Amino acid sequence: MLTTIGEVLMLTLWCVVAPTLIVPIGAMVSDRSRIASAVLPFPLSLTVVFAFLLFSHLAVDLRRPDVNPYAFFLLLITLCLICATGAKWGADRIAQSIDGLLRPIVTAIGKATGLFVLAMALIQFTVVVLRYVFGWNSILLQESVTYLHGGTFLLAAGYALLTNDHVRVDIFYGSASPRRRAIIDLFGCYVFLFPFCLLTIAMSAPYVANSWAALEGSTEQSGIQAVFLLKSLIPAFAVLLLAAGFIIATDAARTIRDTKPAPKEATA
Amino acid sequence: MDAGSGFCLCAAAGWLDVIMIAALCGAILLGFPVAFSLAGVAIIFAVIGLASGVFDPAFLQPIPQRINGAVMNSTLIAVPMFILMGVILEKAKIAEELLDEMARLFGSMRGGLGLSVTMVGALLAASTGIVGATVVTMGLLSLPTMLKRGYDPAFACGSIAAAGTLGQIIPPSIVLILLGDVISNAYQKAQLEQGVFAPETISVGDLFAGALFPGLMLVGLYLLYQIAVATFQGTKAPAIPQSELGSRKEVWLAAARTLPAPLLLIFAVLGSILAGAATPTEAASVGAIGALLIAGARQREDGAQSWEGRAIAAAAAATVALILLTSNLDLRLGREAPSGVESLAIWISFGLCALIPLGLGASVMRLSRGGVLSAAADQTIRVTTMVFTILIGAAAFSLVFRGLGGEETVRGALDAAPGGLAGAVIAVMLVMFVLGFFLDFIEITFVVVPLVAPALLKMGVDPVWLGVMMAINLQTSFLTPPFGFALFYLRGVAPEAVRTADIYRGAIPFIALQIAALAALTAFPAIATWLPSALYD
Repeated sequence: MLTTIGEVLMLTLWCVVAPTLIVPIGAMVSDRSRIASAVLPFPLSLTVVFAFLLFSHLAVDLRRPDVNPYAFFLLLITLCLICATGAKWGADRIAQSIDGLLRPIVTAIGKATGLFVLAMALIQFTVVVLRYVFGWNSILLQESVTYLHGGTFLLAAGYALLTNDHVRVDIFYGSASPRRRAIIDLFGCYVFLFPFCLLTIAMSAPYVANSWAALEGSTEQSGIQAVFLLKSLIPAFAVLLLAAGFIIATDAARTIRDTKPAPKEATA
Repeated sequence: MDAGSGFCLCAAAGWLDVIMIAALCGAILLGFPVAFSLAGVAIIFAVIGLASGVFDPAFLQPIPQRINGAVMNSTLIAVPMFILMGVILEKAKIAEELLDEMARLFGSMRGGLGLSVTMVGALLAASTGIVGATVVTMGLLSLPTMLKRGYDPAFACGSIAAAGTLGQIIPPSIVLILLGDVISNAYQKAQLEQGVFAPETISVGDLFAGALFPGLMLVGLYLLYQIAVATFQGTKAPAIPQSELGSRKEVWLAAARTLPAPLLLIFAVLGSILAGAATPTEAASVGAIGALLIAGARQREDGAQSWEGRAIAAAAAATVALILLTSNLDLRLGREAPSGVESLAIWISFGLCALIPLGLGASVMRLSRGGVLSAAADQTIRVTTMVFTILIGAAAFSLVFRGLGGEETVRGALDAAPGGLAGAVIAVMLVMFVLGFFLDFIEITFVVVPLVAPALLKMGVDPVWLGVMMAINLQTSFLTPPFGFALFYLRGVAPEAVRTADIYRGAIPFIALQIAALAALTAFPAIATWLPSALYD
């Protein structure tokens, strides 16, 4: 039986979110052939899911007899939905609507952390004044700075990916054509970014679940008793990165579709 | 899987750690963000390792703990606040003003523009320390002026690129905070492995103190070189006629108006850390709030209300008064029977404390009307996130690398380096120098330093000295043609008329100075190690 909310979330991740990540690839071919964009998700999504079965003893084990019927049906329904809508409208349109849904969310959350940074400086300054002038220490205030710090970089990571602020080594990338850049981005998303995000979510699931189960609080009595919320930011970080990755993968797929490959240099 | 491929996998499995490094180099050269390339390569090799049975998946378990560690680390909390301070100073055009005023002050001397670039580079360094930003700012502001005034393009470019890299070696730069954190972990680890169970610690403060004299030495060397060029090859760095700069009196008055506040702020932040009075985090928050006040005071626009200016001035004065009161009287609350003077002082300080939020509020209102505040906050979160995401990616990489036995491989290679300890240090420095062509300071700090530092420290290298050497070494690497980052950024903002060869040629004398500094540090390690031991032992 699916007993905990953690298991339900994990199942959703593997059987709904992971296969949906394939959609941008479908968008790449959607104008050439509806059939390709409808059929393509099948083998690719299954590959993703089975690749992660390798790590399944770290997450919820999809092969467990009490879990596998749910897993099987969820996966099937998701794939059918993707394929059916892909066949009807083309994967491009699905990607577009998911994109339109995710982009404002990721951006809004990222921008909101700007306030965290300002609040952080103000609170830390207050702590300094209280401590050095009046000899009064507040663990609550000091810990709130830690919470804001964690909130800042964990929640803004997806936003920074959208604004292209993560450092790249641009020796080759800098001078590459838009098409080549898009290929690199698409490749990077599927080979580096998505596996990293999925793995981080899988790894942090038991870690965060334990923290929730104990409603873990501060080690200090007068601290903020919400460490379980702070730790929940770790999977949130990965989910936001996944969303941002979906968006840049879609953009890259469209660029690849809309640009022609550079003609090979004629050998003189 | 048939027997043949099984054998191949086993043969390759022993080399997986080495292949992993090679794969990482290939992956980051592709140009996908480095943080995710690090993590992605790690996962690919974890899967290969799992499949060939040489990797224990338990090595992946600590990923969430590592991320949580980055959240909880009390030193790293200083990073976003220092970035905020630097970004506010930049967005509110205070950095620009500093450069302008310095140039007017020294412009009438031969080579004066070069000197002012070096000094501002050193000062801004203290607040930003991100190579690209400083080089770009100064390249945009100073290079056109210097060229217009007839400076030799190579000399001008070299001065700007070199001054832009000064940022990272002069405390309190962000890279020194990151490096300090990594080296202090490595130092503890090295001692634990040697069976020292009450290890000595080094702090970010130690590294700041250690980097101060070497940093100032570099500034001194740069200035000497520029003075020498101005004296012996005057045509390369002509003086600007005083008449064009305004009268001497005007120049000094303008300088007296603009320079003291930012300088005071930078010295207060650095001084309080070095004196051990405040942690880097505490000092960073004071720096950020101070920058906010200064920026608010400078932000003049039409229809500005005068009460705001007064409130900001009052807040600044209140802060200074509060510091004076605190250092002379005991204001701690909750004591038995404070004396009459003290209770009076406590009430006064309550009043002063009320003035600070008033001034801050005024400052925030002004800056947000001008759009400066939201731009600064936005920029800060982007840079902060970039730094910490690399930390997370590097953590994933090093976990897998360790799981594949990479640590022993690195240690073995360093032990086998010809020439013992000196050979190992030289080898590491050369590797870092070459990596500096491709990677930023942050990536090298999080990926390479944790791998090599424990082994070197175990061999008996002083941690502060090692940190300072690494910082100067990387700084040199960023200046070295044809790949150096600083040159690359400068090329991006330099006018078309400046030839790339000029930029390269200009950097060479400064590289020589850097190498001289490294040699001096090797011959006299006390330049780095004396101040921390004098301050903290």
